[in-house]
Amino acid sequence: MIVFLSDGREQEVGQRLYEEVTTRGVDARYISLEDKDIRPCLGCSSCSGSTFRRCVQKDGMEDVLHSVADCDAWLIITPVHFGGLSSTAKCVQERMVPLGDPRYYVRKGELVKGMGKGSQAFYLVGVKDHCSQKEKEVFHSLHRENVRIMNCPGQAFVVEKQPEEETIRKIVEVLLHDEK
Amino acid sequence: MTKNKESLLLINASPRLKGTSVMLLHRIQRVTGGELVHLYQGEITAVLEKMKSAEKIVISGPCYVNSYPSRVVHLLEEAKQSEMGENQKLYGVINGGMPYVHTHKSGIDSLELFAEQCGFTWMGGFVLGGGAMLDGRALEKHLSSKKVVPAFDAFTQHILEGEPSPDVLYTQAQTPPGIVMTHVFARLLSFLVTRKLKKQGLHPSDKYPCVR
Repeated sequence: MIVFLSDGREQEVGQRLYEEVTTRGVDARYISLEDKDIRPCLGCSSCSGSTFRRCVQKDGMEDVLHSVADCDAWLIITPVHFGGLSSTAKCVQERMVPLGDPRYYVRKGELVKGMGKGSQAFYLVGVKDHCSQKEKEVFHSLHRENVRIMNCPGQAFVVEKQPEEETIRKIVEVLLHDEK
Repeated sequence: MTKNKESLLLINASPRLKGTSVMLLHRIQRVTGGELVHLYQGEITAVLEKMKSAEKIVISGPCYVNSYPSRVVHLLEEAKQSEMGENQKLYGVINGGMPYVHTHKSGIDSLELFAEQCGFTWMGGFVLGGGAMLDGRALEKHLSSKKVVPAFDAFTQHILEGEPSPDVLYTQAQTPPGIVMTHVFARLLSFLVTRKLKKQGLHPSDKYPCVR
């Protein structure tokens, strides 16, 4: 299953990607983040220790964690804010820690952590019109660091608010190609 | 050298009130003075109001998933909607657990983009790797304290004088651990976390939701 986590306040790209994937008969779930009550991470480290794999905060995040725990790939689709995620999308990404492997590994000579299953791909789709080259580079480099530290595959894309059908198809083909 | 008289606001962007982010701000404040506020205490609007009247602002926060916490992004989103930035200088500090600059650098890049988009004058940042293990203790306890302490104090001087601070200041002060130490760290940290979980009858590879 592919899970779409989308902050749809400023974009419909998430919805369009999800529809393109389901049209092809692929199992997927769309979760709109802007409708959920998800509070920021408290940085208490409880989920990797005394309440392992469980967050001390009980809110809309439980549903998201259940879906992502069982998926083959997950995406965050977000407006690009200052070369990164929107605060809504970033808040959800930070709350993924209960799914992670709390151990450390060495990859390419550096310390990394890992996601539970190890192979779950993580994609990041940023949406912004007339996004500068500099801002695109920051966004891509953020995702590069994300997959490096989570020790997982995945890609990042930056698209316009109203992308061509061709752009949507291309992203979906990357998702489905990687999933095979 | 003339003393820079601009008003200074120090923003602690960590939910922890005694962690490394605030320790670094106290270290700056001892030299520069200025007001320290906690982003996680009270309403964001109170911090926004203080930002409007400050001539120099320093945001210091932890690195969550390779950038500042979402509450910082929220603050910046709100700041973009309000009238501010003109003749205001912005500095950023970010600290994270991994002993590498690149892991945390996106936070500083993001702050620079915010400054550009909102008319602030971007003055530079300081990325501190291996900061989480300090857990609020003095910078002198940092693994590379010999290089990091003078570099951070030079950064503080730049804030005091209202001058730009170049990235080389922190990039040159930090050398990643060698391959042997890296493996030692990985083994040691994994051993500690595994032992802690075993005491609860659990194992790191237990699947979510992991009910006892």
